[in-house]
Amino acid sequence: MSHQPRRRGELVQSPGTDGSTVYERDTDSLHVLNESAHAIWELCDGRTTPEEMAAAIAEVTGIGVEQAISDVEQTLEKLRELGLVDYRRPRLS
Amino acid sequence: MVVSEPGEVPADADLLVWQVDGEFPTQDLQPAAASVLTLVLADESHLVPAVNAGCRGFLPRSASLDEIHGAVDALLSGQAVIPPYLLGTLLRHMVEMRRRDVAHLDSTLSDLTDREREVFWIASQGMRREEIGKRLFMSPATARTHLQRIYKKLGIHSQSELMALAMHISEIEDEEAE
Repeated sequence: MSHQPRRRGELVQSPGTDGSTVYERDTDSLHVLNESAHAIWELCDGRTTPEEMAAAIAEVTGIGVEQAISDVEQTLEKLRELGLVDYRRPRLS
Repeated sequence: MVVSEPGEVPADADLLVWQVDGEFPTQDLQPAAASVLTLVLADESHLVPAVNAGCRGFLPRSASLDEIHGAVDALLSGQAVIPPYLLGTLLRHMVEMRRRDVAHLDSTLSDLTDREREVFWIASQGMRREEIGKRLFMSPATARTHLQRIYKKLGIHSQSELMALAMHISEIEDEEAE
């Protein structure tokens, strides 16, 4: 796993749901993501770092960078738990 | 709330709501967006220029009155308003733009000689050429020559621009280091 998160699963059309639905083949499961989780999942291309994601979110929304980093980390952790991203948080030394 | 043209923003305005028809007027919008909350109703292709101009609110022109009211309330309470289905596209653009920015700054400073970089960073602290000369053991005339070369290479025209550029580089380097 990498410090640059890589998304798993694929977006599927799912009428009747408010969020975006992602199908993960390995676990044969469907997950409905809210808007911000979906946007972060889309950024998980194996190349973009969480810090880059947070900087972009801070710039677009006007929230502080620290808050954006915290939000991105929490979302990535949830996506990782759901099996929707491959991601390993860097160890603090 | 004020609905107005960007050039007519009253000094006490809380919010500017502007519907854009045709070409996106970045130059007109930037001063207004910098000084007052701005909600733009425009084509989806205008999303990136609108956010780059400093707008915190964006809706497609087809937005209903209820959606506009909701967006106004959200903006006034400090939230950004971006249609959810455009958020991913916008964030991707911001990431790419920032990468280009960092790459550009790296290549810009790489055009300077080691000595010019020393002069650049000392000049960025607001020192005049006499002080730069003293610091680097060179005459004020030599410091001036270095500054002129730096200005030419960086495409800037004054020490104020140099200081702004240095601050921008430092901010990006700090964020990269975090």
